[in-house]
Amino acid sequence: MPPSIVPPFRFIENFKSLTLLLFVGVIASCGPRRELEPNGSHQQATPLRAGRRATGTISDPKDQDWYRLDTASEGTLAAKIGGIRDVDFVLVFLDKDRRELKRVDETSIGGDEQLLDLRISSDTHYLVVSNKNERSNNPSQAYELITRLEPAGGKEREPNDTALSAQPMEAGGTLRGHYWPKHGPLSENSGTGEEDWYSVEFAKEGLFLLNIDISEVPQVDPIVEIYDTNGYKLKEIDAGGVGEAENLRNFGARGPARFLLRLRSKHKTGGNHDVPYDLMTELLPYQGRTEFEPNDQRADATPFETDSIQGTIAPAGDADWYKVAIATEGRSLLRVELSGVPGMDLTLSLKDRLGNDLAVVDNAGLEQPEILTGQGATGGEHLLAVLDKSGKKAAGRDPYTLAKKLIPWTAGLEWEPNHSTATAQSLKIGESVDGYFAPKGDVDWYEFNVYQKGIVELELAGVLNVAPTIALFDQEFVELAKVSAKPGEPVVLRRELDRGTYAARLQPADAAQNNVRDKYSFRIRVK
Amino acid sequence: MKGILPLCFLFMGACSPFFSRSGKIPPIPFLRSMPQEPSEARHPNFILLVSEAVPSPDQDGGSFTAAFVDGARVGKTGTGRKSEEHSLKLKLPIGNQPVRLEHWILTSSGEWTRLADELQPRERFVRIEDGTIARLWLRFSECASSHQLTLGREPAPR
Repeated sequence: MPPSIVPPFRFIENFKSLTLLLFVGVIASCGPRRELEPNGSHQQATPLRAGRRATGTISDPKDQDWYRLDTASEGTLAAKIGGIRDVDFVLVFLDKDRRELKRVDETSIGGDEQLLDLRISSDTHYLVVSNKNERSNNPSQAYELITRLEPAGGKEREPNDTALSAQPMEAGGTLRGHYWPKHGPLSENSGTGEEDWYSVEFAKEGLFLLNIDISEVPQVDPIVEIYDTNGYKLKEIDAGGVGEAENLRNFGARGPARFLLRLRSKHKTGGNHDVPYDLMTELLPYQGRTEFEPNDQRADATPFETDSIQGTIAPAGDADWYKVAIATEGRSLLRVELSGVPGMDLTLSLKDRLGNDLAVVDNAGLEQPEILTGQGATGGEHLLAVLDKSGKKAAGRDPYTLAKKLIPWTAGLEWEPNHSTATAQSLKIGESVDGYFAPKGDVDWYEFNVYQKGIVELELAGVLNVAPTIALFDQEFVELAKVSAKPGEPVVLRRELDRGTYAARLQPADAAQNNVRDKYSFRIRVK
Repeated sequence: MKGILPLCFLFMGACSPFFSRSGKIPPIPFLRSMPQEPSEARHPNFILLVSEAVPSPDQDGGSFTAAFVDGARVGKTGTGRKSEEHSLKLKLPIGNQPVRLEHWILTSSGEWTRLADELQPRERFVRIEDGTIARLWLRFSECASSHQLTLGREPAPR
């Protein structure tokens, strides 16, 4: 070969060698990072770029392999170590000061371990692989540690296991996380389950409604709790079961505000590393058309100012209180209608401002509406309470509607409460009154004075489904006479009465009979 | 000077919603022009007891209740805070007597006002018998917008 052409060939040969070397180098860099023993402490930690893989061995039962994670940007890291024979892995995530942030030890010998949703920043972090099996003897089989780095937006960022470390989130958006690991948060023997805390904050002023939805995750029965900044629990949502979603509607908030959400699995054995949950929040301006949770007690009653208002029974056992302020002078009748809800038997109670029951409406059954036909009301505040009769059901997605109407009272209309001798409604001879046999178990007392001895006739027109009964009492409430008729038929009681006060008790023959649609008509006259 | 004094009293009354500065309930003006009430009976056969459940102390103004039998005024309870029990003990004629009660309240402007007719207790007969005491309870609630009227009877002490 002529010497003049040697250099180019040599160059070509060298170029080939260099390319080959580079190719090998590239291939090598794409492969798993081999641990650099000794790496039993943070000073000796094997560097591992977040998102890469590493391999190593457990040379003896007490071997610890430290990996130093370096990344240029913020993100969410997942780390998984594949199980090998004879080794019970524990995987720990630490910050630059070697403070333990998260630990996973869910499986036993030979099992995989994985950490999810770890918040990682440009600071140094460590992953420590260790073994719990003191008798392990598998120094030759390599394990593989796989890390995955993803952008942090819209994801849970561990550790967020306490109120103090709650992850800030905007009210109005979706966030994805995992009920994982099952046990947590840090200590091996803490006995507590995994918890995810979020801090929901909004700066806007005014009244708002916060809606919260947690998607379903197989094998997990979620519980959501809402706390205020003082650590007081405001609401707990636990309507669904295992593998079911949870939701809260119309949680009232006076902005600017900050709440803490605590999300966890009801059962400590519940968890899922494969299927994430989606936490969705929605913030709506309050317009007075829905309940303003929490309204579970008298002091927190939602002002009911419009003609109708909507609410939901959630969680199970939820009680919704409403405050009706009557500004008009004089006497009015308050009529309230409560719509039915699928799968529920709702009850409606009217209470005085001290919380005492004035009327309990439980006329109808499952999924049927309830009607308070007309309760006497003068100016001031009245309270309404809506409950599920069983106290065990919840329907976060099926709202009920509560509608109210204020009817001016005029002579000739029944004035509830008149269900006792002490609250008997006064009538004069010759007058008549229209009223309802409702709610179920209703008894209506009327009192009248007879100023001259004579024959007095009490006449009650019948209503559908009710067998009417009239009982007549003297002023000491000794029963003088009683008559009844078949359902729908009128009943008349005629008797000679001395001068005095008398009371008439009207009621259905059977306490279960009632009619919220048709009014009875009761008349007293002298023959 | 004498002419200024009533004006001073009027001004003091307007400044204190329910009570004068001494804490006493103002006198009942209309009673001055009315005949002297008979004093409470030592051996009554009729006792009226009136009370009211008030929602807050600032609504615990003054009240009293007057009693009428067969249209004639027969007495009135003591005057005091609504939440206190006011009583009236009377010796009424034997027989079935129509008793009407009239409730009065002290307004925030310091004036005694009769409760509206529709809120007054209904007239009812009370049988007055020898050897027994008829006891009539009148209990107001919800700022006197509702009430309960109950009658009881007990043997008179011998």
